[in-house]
Amino acid sequence: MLNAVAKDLFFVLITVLFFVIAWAYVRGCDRL
Amino acid sequence: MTSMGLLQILLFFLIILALTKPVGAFMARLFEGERTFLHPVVRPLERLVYKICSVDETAEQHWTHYAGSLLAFSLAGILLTYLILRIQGMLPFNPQGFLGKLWTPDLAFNTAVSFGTNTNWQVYTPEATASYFAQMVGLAVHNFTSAAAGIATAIAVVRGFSRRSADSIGNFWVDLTRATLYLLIPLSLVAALVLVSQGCIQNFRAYDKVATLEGGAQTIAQGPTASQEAIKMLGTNGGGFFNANSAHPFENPTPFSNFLQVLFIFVIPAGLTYTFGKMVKDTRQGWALFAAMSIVFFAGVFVVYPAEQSGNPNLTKLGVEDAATATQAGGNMEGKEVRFGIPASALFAVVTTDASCGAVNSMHDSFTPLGGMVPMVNIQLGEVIFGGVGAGLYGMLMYAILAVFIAGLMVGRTPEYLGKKIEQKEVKMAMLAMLILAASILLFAAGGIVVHLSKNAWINPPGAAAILTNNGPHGLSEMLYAYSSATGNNGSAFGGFSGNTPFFNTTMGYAMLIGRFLMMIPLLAAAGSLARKKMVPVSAGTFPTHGALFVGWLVGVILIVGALTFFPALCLGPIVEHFLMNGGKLFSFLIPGVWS
Repeated sequence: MLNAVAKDLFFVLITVLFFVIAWAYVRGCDRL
Repeated sequence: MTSMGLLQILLFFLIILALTKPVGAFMARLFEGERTFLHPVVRPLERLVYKICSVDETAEQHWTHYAGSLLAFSLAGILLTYLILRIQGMLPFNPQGFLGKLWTPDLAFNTAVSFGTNTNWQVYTPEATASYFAQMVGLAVHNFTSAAAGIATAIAVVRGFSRRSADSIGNFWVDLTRATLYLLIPLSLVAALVLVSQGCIQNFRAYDKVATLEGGAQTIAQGPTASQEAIKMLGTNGGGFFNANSAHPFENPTPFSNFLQVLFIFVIPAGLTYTFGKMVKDTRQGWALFAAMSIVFFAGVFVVYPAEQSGNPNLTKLGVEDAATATQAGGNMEGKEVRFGIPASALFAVVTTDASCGAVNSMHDSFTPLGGMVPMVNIQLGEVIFGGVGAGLYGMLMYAILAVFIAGLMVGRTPEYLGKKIEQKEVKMAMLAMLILAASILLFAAGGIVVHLSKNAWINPPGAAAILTNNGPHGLSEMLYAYSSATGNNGSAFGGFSGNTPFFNTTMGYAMLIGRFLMMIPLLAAAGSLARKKMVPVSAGTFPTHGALFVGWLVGVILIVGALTFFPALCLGPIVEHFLMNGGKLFSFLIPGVWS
């Protein structure tokens, strides 16, 4: 079982991860 | 259908038609940087915002910088909301003493993303979970900013068509600030006061505890509702202050407030069609989009309203009186408020899903199969029927690009739209936006149906937290609607599906992010590409895009693309349910906890 802090960190990380992917998507769309 | 019902729908449309030009002209002046009647009051405030935030309002952005600013702003807002929800117990304006632990991390993630993406999917119960501070600062602020971000994106896409040989599509921070200060805040102030006049509550006191006539005790939730209600509708957000949303008498007290709320949903999206026409220097182009949107709007209303007024034939066979009379609404009144009746509920359901609003005044899960299918289809088409503030316009422009491309293929000419050649890049970007939407809805919904994780896993904890309350095709519709609503950033719930588990909160959260940003980005890319192009002079071979032929063609493309993408799934859900209902087969209510 993950504790609350680890879960908080997990959800913050997956949020940031999405936006990192979205920025890569911006760069990809620019080159496409 | 009753004459009063038809009159109400017609009156609604005529008022929207009358408001489109003045609202659209105001927005065109605003986003072209011209002076408006609000400038004497708001301009000093706007300057102050730029000064505090170090924004150079004369600086223009390349589309990648515009998209980067949008992403950075949204990420910061989502993380801030997550924090507010998790620590709400330490924050002010919390007379009920709600603690942060009421928001599990997955629920806080889902809710923060939901409001940051203009979805406002609510898997929590606001009056039992959220403090006034969390509702106002954590959630309602997003109602303004996410709506303003949508408008800014639409305006940037329009600039792609209106500019010639340009390397920039505007400044995100300036568009965001202007949409908020000149448009959303003033309109919301007026709308909130009108709603208060109808009985919508606005206070900061603790919940009332009253004794009922039967001698029991009842808690009546309070709060700053009217201020949130106004922007909830105007910003096509849809997140209710109370769990029952616009069916709650404190949110939507009277039939008049209900009529106003439906108007609030469409007023900005409809106005944006005129703004588009003004900015591309041909208002006929804007009216062509308005006409296409109106045709699909009426098609939706006149499926839902008759379907709901006809009711369930199985009840008629049992001798239940289902005709509308002076003393009863008739038809299918399950899940509808008596004070609104069938036409106002049908109109609300269609409008809230035509736009990406998601507020509800009736339970869509209780509609007849065809009546419930229309809201779902509206969302799956990309909510382009007037649509969400901004999102509707850029979604419709995506369809317009596809429409002229397909028309060009048919006659063997390079397609043009508004004097710009539509080439490989624009079509690729439009298709990318289209496919992302469809893939997210269908793949996540399929996953939600078939993936069964261990009951003891953290991602799917023990207990009846995730429930489909119906089996058969209706259960499929519940799941399909949920992921359609999330990806389409609508936020309305079909009902019947309760998914407050880490698995559903996480996948729905990602569906919202994908539906919002991975659709916006390709359209901004197309705008950036279009802005760089020169205008092509009109020739005898140019397909006119302001006439009836183009309007009909555009509607056809919207419906055909939607039908091709979602028809198989709809056949397995509401369509087969409709035929089975007519054959006497209904689907039972599952015992909570059987499915998870």
